Amino acid sequence: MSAGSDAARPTPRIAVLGNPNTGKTTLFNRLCGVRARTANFPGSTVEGRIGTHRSPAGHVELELVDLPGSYSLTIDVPEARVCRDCLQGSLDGIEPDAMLVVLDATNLRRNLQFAAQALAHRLPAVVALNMWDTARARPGCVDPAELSRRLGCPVVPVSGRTGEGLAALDVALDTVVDLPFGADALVARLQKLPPADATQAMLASWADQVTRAAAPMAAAPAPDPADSLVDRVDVALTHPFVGIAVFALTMAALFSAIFMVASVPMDLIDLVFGRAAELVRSAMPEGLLADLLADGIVAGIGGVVIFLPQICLLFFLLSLLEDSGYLARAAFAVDRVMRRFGLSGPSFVPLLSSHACALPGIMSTRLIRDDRERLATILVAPFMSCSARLPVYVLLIGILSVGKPAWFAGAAFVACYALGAVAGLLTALLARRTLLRGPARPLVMELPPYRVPALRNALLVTWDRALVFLRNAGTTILAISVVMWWLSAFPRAEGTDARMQQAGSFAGQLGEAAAPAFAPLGFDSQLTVGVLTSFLAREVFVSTMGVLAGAGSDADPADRTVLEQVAAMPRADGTPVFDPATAAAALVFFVLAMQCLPTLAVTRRETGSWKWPAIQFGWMTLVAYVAAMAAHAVVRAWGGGA
Amino acid sequence: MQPDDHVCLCFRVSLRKLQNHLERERPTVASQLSECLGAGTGCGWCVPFLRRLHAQHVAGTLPALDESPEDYAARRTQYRAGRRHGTYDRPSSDPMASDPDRSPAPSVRVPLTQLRRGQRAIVDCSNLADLPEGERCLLHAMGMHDDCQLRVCSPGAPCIVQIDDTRLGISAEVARRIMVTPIEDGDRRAP
Repeated sequence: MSAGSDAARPTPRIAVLGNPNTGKTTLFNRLCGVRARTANFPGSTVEGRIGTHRSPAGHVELELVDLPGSYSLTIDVPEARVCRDCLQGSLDGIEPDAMLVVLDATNLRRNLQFAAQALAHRLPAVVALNMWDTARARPGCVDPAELSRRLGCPVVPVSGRTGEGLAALDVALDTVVDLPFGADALVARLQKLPPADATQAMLASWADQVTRAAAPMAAAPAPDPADSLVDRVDVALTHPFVGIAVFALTMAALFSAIFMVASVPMDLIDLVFGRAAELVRSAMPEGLLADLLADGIVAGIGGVVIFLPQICLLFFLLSLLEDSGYLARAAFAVDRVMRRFGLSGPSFVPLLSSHACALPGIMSTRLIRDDRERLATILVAPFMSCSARLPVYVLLIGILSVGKPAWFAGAAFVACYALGAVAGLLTALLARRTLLRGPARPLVMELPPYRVPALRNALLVTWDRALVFLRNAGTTILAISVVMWWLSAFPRAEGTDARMQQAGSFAGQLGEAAAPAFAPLGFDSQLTVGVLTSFLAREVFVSTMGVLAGAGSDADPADRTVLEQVAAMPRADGTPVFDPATAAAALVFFVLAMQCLPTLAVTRRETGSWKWPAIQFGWMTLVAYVAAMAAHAVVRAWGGGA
Repeated sequence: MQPDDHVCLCFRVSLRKLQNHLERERPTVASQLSECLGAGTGCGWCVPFLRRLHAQHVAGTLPALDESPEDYAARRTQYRAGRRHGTYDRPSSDPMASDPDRSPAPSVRVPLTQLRRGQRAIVDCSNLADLPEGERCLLHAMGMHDDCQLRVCSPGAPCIVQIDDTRLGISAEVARRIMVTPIEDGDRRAP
């Protein structure tokens, strides 16, 4: 080991690559733990993780780059492109010094074809024979030494799950980054591999030959009684009715759990930030700085952190489900339904998650392989009725259902959710026929074996996602909150009440100016202010309307609930703001409109351009406006108007 | 059916061509009829009829089919539509349904979607040419290549198959294009 002699040398960088479902990420997590960060590879939306591994001997530190799992290096998909570019050293900033090829020892024949493609690159290599704990237990298991001779590089049997063989892997990695790797070494290795232009058939026969040589005693696959059981489970879980019903139940349970469990920390966060804002106010002299700190920055940070419990829980539970092997079956089962709308099975989970919150929904579109389909899913995700719409629904449906039978409110809630989902699916269909036209990708997906999910992995995924969210979306949301505070706090109207401040501010002036545009929907200037402020975050609507109504009414606000106050709000001419037609129009508008700047920020991040958030915003606002106008006209014609 | 009528409508192979092929090549098994202009390798409808022709030839009679061409084509349309929705059952008059020993007989290429649960088969990817290049390569890289052996875990379209230790979910449009030669009967084999 020569760690001391070249201390000035930068940390050796090792590219970790392999087929999907080889336990590559488990091995990576085992090596790096929390010393890893998620990063987008330059020039792509593909994400990988970069971590440091402290090895007990030799190089104290190695940098590992976890490349996305890919079935082949020659196919034209983003993951394969990233792997290829990385191995060729054309990925800026991530030129590797060596590669670690992770193979699934229980599925050698297929994995070797990938290994042959990877080993053809001019980089020193170590092959990790993962899942060794399972493979070793089988009769006629592969001989690592023979495999090493056949591949021309060290082969180390390891198990990412149990940690077996990691010490040997350390030694192999240390040795390989220190040894010079010249052209002759590459030539020696290439002679053992199939030619560079080998067809898949040649690769397959080479892999077959190597497998036979390395595991000569392997028995022909005997009929395994467990296979038959797994078959039955697979048949049930992918059945057109049973499978979809099981999926719906699983997801219903998942979201109930998220709603129930997340509401506790969310309330707590709300409380803590409310108290913090009060504390800031009481600790500082009254004035602009106190306002900025309390209403802008503290409230802004609170507005970011409040999303964290839902995001963490969703990713934690989804990671457990994915790890168990169930999620792949579910995606396969719903594929045939989604296909009718130009989407496919993998889009379903993101869309479902968006009913809790569009942010984690959009972030989880990374499961979708097809770029166009992924964009279509991101585009329509905000149509799903998220939990932030719920307070608005409660307010408006409350107003609408005064004097109506008891079932009316329930039906209205269901209608709101259905309207959002239908609008989303039809938009997806439209997008796939126009902007994102492309062949529906025929679905061929690997269904990984069922296993007990690894808690450690799920926790690491959650930690990772939370950091990504805070780092990227968080900063944007905070900035927006400060801008929003500024808009409603300036110009200062000293000594007047909240309502005057609201009306005189830039936001209020904007509302006044925009009122004619919203007149066809039956909105007056107060409601327009409410709608405009809620373009930043829709949950603001209730508090804005509360402020406007509370300040405007003569009665003591403490006597009445916010709902009653808002319902009784008068227009300038004395008639109520919320006649049934206006309330219906506002409700439809809130179901369909894109009123969430954080979502636009995440869309921008996930798509890598402002084009998609712009389209999303424009289209959703247009649909919401037209539908609200129609709702207003219909309810009015039906006799509900003022 | 007259000699100039098509038996394999997918590849427009006439009865006469099949008769000549049987006479000239004397195939030992019915599946070798696929060498006659690819007969039977499209939708799979004519496979039982090809088997009947082969059996007649082996028995020494002139291979012939008594179905009227119109009826034959109409039933094929029904078969294809039914398969698209996974509802088609061959009527009892159908040679495939009437003779359980032949359903589907070993060494005959059939679409993957016709296999039963647990059945093993050898794969032939030659009909995948009209799939997008990327999907074809992906299938290959996932282990689905010519002459590999698979086992059906969940039959029909879409279906789930197992190759070595990998389970693959395959959507209907791809599964219909994958031709296979069954090598053993599945778990529904009568005792």
